[in-house]
Amino acid sequence: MIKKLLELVKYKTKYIIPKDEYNSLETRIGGIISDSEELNNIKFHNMEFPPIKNHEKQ
Amino acid sequence: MKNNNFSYTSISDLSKLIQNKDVSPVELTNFFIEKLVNEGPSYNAVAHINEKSAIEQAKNAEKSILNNEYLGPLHGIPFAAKDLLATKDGSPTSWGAKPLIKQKFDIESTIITNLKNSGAILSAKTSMVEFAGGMGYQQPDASAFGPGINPWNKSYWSGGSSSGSGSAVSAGLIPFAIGSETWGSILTPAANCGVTGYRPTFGIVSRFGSMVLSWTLDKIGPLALSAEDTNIIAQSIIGKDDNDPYSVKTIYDTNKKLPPNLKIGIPKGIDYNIQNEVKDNFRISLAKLSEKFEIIEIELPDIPTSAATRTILSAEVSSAFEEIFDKGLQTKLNAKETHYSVLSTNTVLAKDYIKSLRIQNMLNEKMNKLFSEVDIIISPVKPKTASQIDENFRWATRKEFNEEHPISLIGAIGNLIGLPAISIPNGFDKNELPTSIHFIANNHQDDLVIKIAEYIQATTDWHNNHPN
Repeated sequence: MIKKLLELVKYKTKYIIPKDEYNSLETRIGGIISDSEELNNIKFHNMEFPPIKNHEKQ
Repeated sequence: MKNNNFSYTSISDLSKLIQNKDVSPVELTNFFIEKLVNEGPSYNAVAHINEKSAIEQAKNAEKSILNNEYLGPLHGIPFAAKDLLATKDGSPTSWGAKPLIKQKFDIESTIITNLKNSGAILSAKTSMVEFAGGMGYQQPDASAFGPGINPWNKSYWSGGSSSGSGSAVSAGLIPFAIGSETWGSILTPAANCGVTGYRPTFGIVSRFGSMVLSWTLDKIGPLALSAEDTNIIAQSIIGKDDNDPYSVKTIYDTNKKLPPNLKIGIPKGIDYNIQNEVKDNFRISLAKLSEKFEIIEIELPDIPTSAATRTILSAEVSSAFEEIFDKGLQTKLNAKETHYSVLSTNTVLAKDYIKSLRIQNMLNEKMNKLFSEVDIIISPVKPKTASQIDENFRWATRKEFNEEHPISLIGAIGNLIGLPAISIPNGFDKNELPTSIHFIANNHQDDLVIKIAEYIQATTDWHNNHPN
């Protein structure tokens, strides 16, 4: 998955990423995947908790 | 009054000298500009000194005061602002980044306008971590101005991302400085440098004219010598601003009285596995508070707060800095570890971003419930004192410290839902580096956190200790 996302980054940004940068980039992609998995543990029903931004709480 | 040393003099004392015409704003401004010029470089604290415009402002202040047009306690008081707040005085606003070192704006940040309207004198822009840390830096030398040096011990970091604001106030180079916080950037340098740092409720201090790191998380607030000074500054910077679409109204009571039945919550396990001196000093502070207030153990909400905060931050960074990434400017930053790794922010799923905003809403509900049981939450700001200047701090912290620790969690909670907080020094460790605690309250209870900090500082003397 990380390798696929790295390809996605290269495609989306049009960057030529030096090979010695792959490791740090993959580490951070791994962190984003890990956060995503953690977020997946929370399940909301359809009408629960709409995304209200801080300033809209008033 | 020549040859006076005005460093570490409180705003209220300086304002009395000015109001009584014992010292002129020009003399005071010259004094602090000289300090910034001579000593600022030894802390890597200063991005730019606004000497010409500062002297001009000081002369105008002097003229007004001599005409008995005194504006209040900030009239004639010099201050500095983090190098991400735009000014139209011709000085650069570089966002701490080498590729933008000559960047200039033709707008003025609302917070600077508000302070100037109160008579305060913008004297300098303080150094900061490049792009306020939005690229994901992992060590202190991530700034166009070099690593922020801690005035208590030059081998240690001043903290980030408001590095220069923390060290300049701590070193007595300026009476107060404005910083910004997305996730820890006011409270961390305040704690590392042993000064008072105030993070306002999200939206009550306008961010117009400030670099955007995250629309959902950015807050702007001061670093000062005391909570009493912070109270004076708060009155000038709080207010709704139509130029900031996230701006909200609030009621701030300068003379707020602490309720006698105030309840203070301590998160369960808060002092587990932290530096001994941080733990000891925290317990002493608690004992002091327990003489007057009820202390209650609380449980923080068990939801993925850090993951949600990080997801929102990553997603918004990828949009806020799209132009920077398109031009490849981040590959010219000091922090080499961020040059390409920050491109990972492009992989955040829209679903996860929205989920994180829903978690923000859920957290808000849970914290409202918690704040019906306690008025204030107290915690050390950090599990340990400042890290060394050459230390890879993220690695060191992660090895030793779990992000689900209540100290990390309360930091993430406070920033995800924009709770007001104030950091104050409460002692030292064996290396004579400051330890600090912070108070957090529910949204719009800013006067409460500032007043509880004032209460502690009225009965202790830690904030009056300064580096030699």
